[in-house]
Amino acid sequence: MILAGEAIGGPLELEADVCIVGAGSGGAVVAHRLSREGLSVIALEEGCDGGGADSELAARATRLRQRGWQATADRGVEVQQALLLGGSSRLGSNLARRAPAGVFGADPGVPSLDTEALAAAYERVEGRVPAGRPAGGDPTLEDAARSLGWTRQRLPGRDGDDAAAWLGSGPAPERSVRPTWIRWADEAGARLLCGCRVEKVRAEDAGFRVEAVSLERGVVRYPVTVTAGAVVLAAGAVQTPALALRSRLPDPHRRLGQGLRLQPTARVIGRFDDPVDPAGAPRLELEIPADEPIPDARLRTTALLPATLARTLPLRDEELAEAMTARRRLRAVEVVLRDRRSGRVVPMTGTYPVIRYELAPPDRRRLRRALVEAARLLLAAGARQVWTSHAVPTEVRTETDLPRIEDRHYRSADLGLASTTPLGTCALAARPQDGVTGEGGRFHGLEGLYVADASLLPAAPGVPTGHTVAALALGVADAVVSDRGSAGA
Amino acid sequence: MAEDWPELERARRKTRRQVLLLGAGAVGAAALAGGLITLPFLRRGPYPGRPSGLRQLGDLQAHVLAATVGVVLGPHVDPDPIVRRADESIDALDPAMRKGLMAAFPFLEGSGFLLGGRLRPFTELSLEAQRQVFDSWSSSHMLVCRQATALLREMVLVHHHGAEVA
Repeated sequence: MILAGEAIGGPLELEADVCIVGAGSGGAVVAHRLSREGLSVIALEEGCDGGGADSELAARATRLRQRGWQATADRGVEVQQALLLGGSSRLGSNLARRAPAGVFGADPGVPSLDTEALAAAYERVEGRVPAGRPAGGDPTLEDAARSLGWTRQRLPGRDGDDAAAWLGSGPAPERSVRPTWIRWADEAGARLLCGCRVEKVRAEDAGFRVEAVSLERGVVRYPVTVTAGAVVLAAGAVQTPALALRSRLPDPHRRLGQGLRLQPTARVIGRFDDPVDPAGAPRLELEIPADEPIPDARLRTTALLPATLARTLPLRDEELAEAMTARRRLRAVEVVLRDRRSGRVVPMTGTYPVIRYELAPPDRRRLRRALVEAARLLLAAGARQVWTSHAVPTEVRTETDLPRIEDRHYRSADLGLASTTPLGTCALAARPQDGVTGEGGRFHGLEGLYVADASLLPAAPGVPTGHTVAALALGVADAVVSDRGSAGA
Repeated sequence: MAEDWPELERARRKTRRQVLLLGAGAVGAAALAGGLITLPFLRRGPYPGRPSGLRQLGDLQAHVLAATVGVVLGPHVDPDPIVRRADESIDALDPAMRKGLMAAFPFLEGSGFLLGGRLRPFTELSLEAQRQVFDSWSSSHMLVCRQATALLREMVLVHHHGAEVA
């Protein structure tokens, strides 16, 4: 029952028990669970399947908001958000990572964020989409890391250690949300309308009225209206607060859209003498040495697409052409920062929201130190040249050059950061003055409205958020069922 | 499909009724009225009469982008496919984002006298001079200069290397 917006031939009026805005890791899980409970569900998703992406450019055009040009207001962080049925789980190689224990605080105030409750929720998700260890390895960098005394990162998982599953369109597309939760929701009777952008959610006496428009190749076609008893916002940490603010939903403590974290990533690229980066190489995650810890920064290897790689290289003309021709000699290591200071989402009338964000000085220091370690790793692996991904990159060739990365001053707009995991803009909190949502994703101050996406997370977990969002979404679905009762009951 | 979405037929009937009552021209307006809030999202149609067939990039923008191709990728790279692909991308952008990107072109072309002491527009400089301008702006202390050059460089690289099979 998946309908594309372009198939709509006129103004469409729909009714359902529950309307879900967004069909990514959160919305699809809620849609499946509620449909199985016998509730009538309509999910509205702006993206569709984004077919025909046989090149990086086509992928940017069909799979990313604003064709991949979306960024923070100062263009310091490129924010890549999926515009797809299945959301960000279909981009790149997202890992199903559990959030480290206690990452949301020793006493998060909301039961579903307790370590034990989260572990149980992860178990439920992994019961449907089994987590497996990434196959293979990365001998060059693993040897280099060992020579530096580093250890492979082990994150909590089902077996008590490295229980990562490859997700996404790259290594394991069969595990992404599209062929799993969306297919199951579809089979359970949920109605999914893709190519449909939600403009406003209005609270009415007996429920909600969701006002949307159908899209045909990005152009507005017809109004779509859904009348529903409950609404679940699951459009992501940028679109969900923007929609809520646009709709003037209650926000007495002005928390909506605040608390944005981006978990920004920066890269270093090393040029080797021999090919070292076979396509689809499994990702290696590394802890930076314990004798000199850099809290909240993590390294991982990453396979970059051609244009992304070219943009990071500080070369041009023949040099750039030569490097790109021999790009199998280039290897990238990414620094993922668990950011502390937050930004905010500002809705704009008739256009996309503005993302205001600036890296705090302590986060910058951590980032610089982590970039030094990433460059050290590449040099230890035999790289002849290493570049940072700053707007004006720093080049290092030997260990003695490494302090240059730390010493150089960069402004926010020149850091050359990227983010695929915005979060925290409708944070879970026990009290309305501390956050937008409460237990079960219930919107403080408006009965029948829920949130089920990464905007729920009150702190950056330091790992991809999809798995945690799916786990929390099960709790949101439970809350909806408990508040409304299942159709069967 | 019809069984799953019975409302679809009602929507089509509504449109047919509007056609009969108002005429085909008014139907488009009625459909648009439903998305009035989002009118700024609407794309402009093709811009007939432009010799190059570009929708968004005017002569000035196309020339600046072509010059940037020379600076970034070298004079041996044909700029036309990159200009065409960039035009398509810009055409599909949300207007606010488009405005931001488009501002980079005239800025690089025309701000030389004020900011760099140049008397000629960027596109009329020699390749070597263009490179000097680009380099100095890339590391300029003025944010707007750094951002303009960074955006143009990125646009060239994305639309050149991004067209390869990923």
